[in-house]
Amino acid sequence: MSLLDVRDIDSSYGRAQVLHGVSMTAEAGQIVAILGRNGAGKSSTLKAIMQLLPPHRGRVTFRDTDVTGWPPYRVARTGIGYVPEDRRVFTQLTVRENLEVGRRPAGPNGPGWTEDALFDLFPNLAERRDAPGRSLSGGEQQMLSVARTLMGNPALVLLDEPSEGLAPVIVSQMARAIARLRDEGLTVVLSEQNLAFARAVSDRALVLDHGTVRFDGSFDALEADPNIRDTYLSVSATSTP
Amino acid sequence: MTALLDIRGLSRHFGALRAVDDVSFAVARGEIVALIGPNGAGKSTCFSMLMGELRPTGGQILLDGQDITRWPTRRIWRAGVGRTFQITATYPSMRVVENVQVALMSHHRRSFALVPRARGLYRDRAMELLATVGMAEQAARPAAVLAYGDLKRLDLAMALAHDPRLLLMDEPTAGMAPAERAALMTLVSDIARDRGTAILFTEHDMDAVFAHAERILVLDRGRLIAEGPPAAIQADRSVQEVYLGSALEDAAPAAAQREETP
Amino acid sequence: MGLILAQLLTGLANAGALFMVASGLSLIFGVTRIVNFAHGSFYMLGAYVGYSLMQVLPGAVGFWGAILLAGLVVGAIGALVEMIVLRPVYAAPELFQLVATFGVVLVVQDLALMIWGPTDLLGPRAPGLGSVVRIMGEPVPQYDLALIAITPGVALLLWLLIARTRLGILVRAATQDREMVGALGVNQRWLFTGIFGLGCALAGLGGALQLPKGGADLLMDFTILAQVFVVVVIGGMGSLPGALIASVLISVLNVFGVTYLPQSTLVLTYVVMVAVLLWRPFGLLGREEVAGEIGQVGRPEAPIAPAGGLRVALTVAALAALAALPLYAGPFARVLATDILIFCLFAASLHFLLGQGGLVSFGHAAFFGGGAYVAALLVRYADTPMALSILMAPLGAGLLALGIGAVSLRASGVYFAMLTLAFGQLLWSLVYQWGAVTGGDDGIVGVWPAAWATPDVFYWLTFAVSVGGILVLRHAAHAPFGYSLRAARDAPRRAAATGLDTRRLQLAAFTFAGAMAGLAGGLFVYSKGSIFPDELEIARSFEALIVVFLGGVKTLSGGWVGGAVFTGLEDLLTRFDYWRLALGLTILAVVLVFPDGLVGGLRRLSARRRPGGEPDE
Repeated sequence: MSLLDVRDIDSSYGRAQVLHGVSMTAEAGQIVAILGRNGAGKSSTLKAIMQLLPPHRGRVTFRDTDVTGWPPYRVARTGIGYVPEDRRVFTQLTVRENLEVGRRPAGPNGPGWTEDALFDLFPNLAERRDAPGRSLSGGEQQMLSVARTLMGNPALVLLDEPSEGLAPVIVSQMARAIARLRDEGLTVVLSEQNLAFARAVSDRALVLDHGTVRFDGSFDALEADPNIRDTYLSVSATSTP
Repeated sequence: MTALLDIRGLSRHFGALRAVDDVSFAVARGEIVALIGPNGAGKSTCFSMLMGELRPTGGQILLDGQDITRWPTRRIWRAGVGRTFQITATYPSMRVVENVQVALMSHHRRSFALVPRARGLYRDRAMELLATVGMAEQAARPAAVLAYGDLKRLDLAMALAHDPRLLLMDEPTAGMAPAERAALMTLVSDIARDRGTAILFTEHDMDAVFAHAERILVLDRGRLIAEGPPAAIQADRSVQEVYLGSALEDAAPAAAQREETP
Repeated sequence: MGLILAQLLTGLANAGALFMVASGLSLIFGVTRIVNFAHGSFYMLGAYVGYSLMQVLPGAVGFWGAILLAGLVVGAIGALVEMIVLRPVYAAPELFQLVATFGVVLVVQDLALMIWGPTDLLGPRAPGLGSVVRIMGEPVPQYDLALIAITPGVALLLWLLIARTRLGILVRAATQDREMVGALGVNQRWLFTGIFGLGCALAGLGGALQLPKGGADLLMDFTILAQVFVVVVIGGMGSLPGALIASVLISVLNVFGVTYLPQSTLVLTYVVMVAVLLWRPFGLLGREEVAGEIGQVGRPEAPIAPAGGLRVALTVAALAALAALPLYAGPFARVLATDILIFCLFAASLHFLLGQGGLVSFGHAAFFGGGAYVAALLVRYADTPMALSILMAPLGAGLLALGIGAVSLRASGVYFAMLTLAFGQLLWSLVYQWGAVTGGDDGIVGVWPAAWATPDVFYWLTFAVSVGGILVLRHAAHAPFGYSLRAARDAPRRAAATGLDTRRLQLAAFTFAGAMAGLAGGLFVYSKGSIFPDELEIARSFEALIVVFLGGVKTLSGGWVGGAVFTGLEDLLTRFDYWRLALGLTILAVVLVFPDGLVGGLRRLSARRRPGGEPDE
């Protein structure tokens, strides 16, 4: 069975339903990109997996355990790490203190991330280890947010828009970091608007539109189907007025 | 003839971040204009400034030749600008029709009245407005129990209460089912045509944008990068790049490096 | 010079206990967002527990050991209270949780009375620190110097805990973003329990430490609570350095006030508080707070509707029976009915503000007492006839509310509530300390109804004015004003985007509610023949707030129903020895069983009898 199995979930913010029967899987060691425009349901899918936006229908299964309806802290403890879109660095805490909040003992087969290993992965953070979160640049905050989650030694990492709002040089650093995670055997599900970035770092693409899955397959298959790309990712109309 | 809405060099900076940077455009009477762009492009900031909720760092907003920059929201409303919200803003503690009646009471400057009972005030006019948006049957239901699509219609009815010259709509179809989306946008177009109301809307649903906008403005990182009729925008290369990402060259080495690792 | 130094030292010594209690309150608020009304009760418990421990533990080791143990015991009690009372209500809107902590206040008061008796306990002297030293010729108690030495130690330990330990890091992280801390795998339940326990332990420690200076008594919970609120608000909610600075500021100010402005020490405190908040609305070191959700749990508020025929008929019948009361009941019933009617009007006025306007005021008693004092002062100094002074009471209270509201409405949520509290206390301290004019503690007595108002006539007057006032409030909710006010509460951005001046609507509501409370106050002073500063006090304001929540915020009748039930219950329960315990437990039961108030709960029950259909239709 897949490491992560999302089956037919519906989720809503108040009365606004944002996910309509989303299903997806992630195999161990795989990097899956969720693509789609703003408001397509990418972030909501990640939040629903984390139970920050608990689905009111459907199931989320991780390592054969149904985690639907669990409080997020328990989901985190089973080995799912979440990096939010807006980073949510603790601005009053230093870099090292931020990492401390995320620290959890390594599981049986986790790589056992340490502060030093993470500073090695993100050298920019090492230089700023005692600086308060609020003084970091956007790129550094993004790195810290990823590093903080890795301190929990998750087997699966949910990355919400890792390249958003970052300068190109930082974007390529982030791509390298994701490649490292894959080398360490981690599974990653990330959401992206930047198709080029997603293609560079991931194995598989999932295209969402209005809370529904429109495509699930390899990037080559996605490339071979320009209709999907034009309809759901770029600026063009499906129907002419 | 002056444009209905004329925006000149509008800017809003948050510290070093230029959320909106020197944006200029105009909207003519009765025109339907879409404002699009990826996340964080500055659309919401633009709207907040137009509606007086956020003070611009620089620039001017003219409504029918009159400078309304830095006016409070309620005064801009009285000058003839209505709006709908991305996340619907209605009054859940009231019935549907009462939601619209409150807007009408404000229009007639009777918000502070203590003597009359509110239930009967401007009820007929409120029912007309509800009929316009197809909500007449639901008039007596509490707003708190409405389906999301119906809340969006109610939001629209409230925005029409003072017969605005300009209607600002922030993601009018967000959170709606596909069939409802098309119906709502058709309704909006009809309203614009029948009443001569100009409409400026932001939207992520490209179907809605290309089917209904007469002109499209594209924002990216606070700047206006393209402007024109739908066909031109569709063909514009810079717009495609904004939506699909241009970091391919930067990210490629990472991919290459990944393939090298055993 | 020596005198000034000695006073400075006294001020610093007093700051110690205050800081410990305030830092506990601040910690708890920062992490759990709960404004813990029971914090003063834990301070009081600390004093009592410390006292008992000192009786059994001998010598200096016993003395200091007892203080430490008292802190630990109170911390454990606090953790227990958090698990039993607060855990079920975390999902409820922030300000609703106060009601639960208020129930704890009442329960602790009576438990303390049961265990330690009504007599004030004199604190034992600290072994070896019982005398004074002379500093530049002025006597300074040795124990004060010990406190001055201990406080920085406690502050330092607390700082180390917060700055250097994993728990401290989690606390600071949770203060900023609770959800993210949870998403990183931290179980917030235990973090909350731990912090609540720690905060209570600090309060207990403060209570035990001040034993040699102040002893233990049953009033110390409210006395310290008012001061601690001042400190926390001045320093900034959730800021420990802020609490330290404000504790020192207030304590030193108090000591110097006693010497140089003996008539206005309290006034001085509250003037400082108001001034700081005007200058920095979130306190010296506080951060801007997002206004919490106001209201109550349960289903969304149903749209209001005029009462149906049956309800009108029932109400008319009940009112007729109430109006005819002097014809068939004795003077006791008449007095009780008068009390209930007046309190119902007072509660209904606050309910209007809270229910319709969404504005939670911690200082509504200022207008009730304010109206009463306006009437009493008019009688005392101008021999004003009764009818006129009852009429002037709402006018005076309304003007007062206009002024206080204009300033307080610059803030929102908890800070708005705190500003109203500050102004309320300012008014109370003015009345309390300006004895030459207001009679101070002795109040104003001899304000009796005019000769034409026989007891029965006065009852009918009270009946007519109270019921009339409640009906006027109710009508206002049905008028365009009430609708616009609810609009500004439900969706402020939408309200502004349809031309409503939300701030002026709220100010008008605040003034209106203040005037109605003043009217109740005007009646009150004549029904009792006297008025004392207690009627303006923080406890009165909280009582009204509790009543409104008990009745149900989301219903039109919650105010007066809560008022009637509460006054009736109080009258019934005060015949027993431990009525506070019973009342406190009742409040806790209502909070846990009827989270949407009595009227809301009844409505839910009747809706269950009629299955199907929407709740209001």
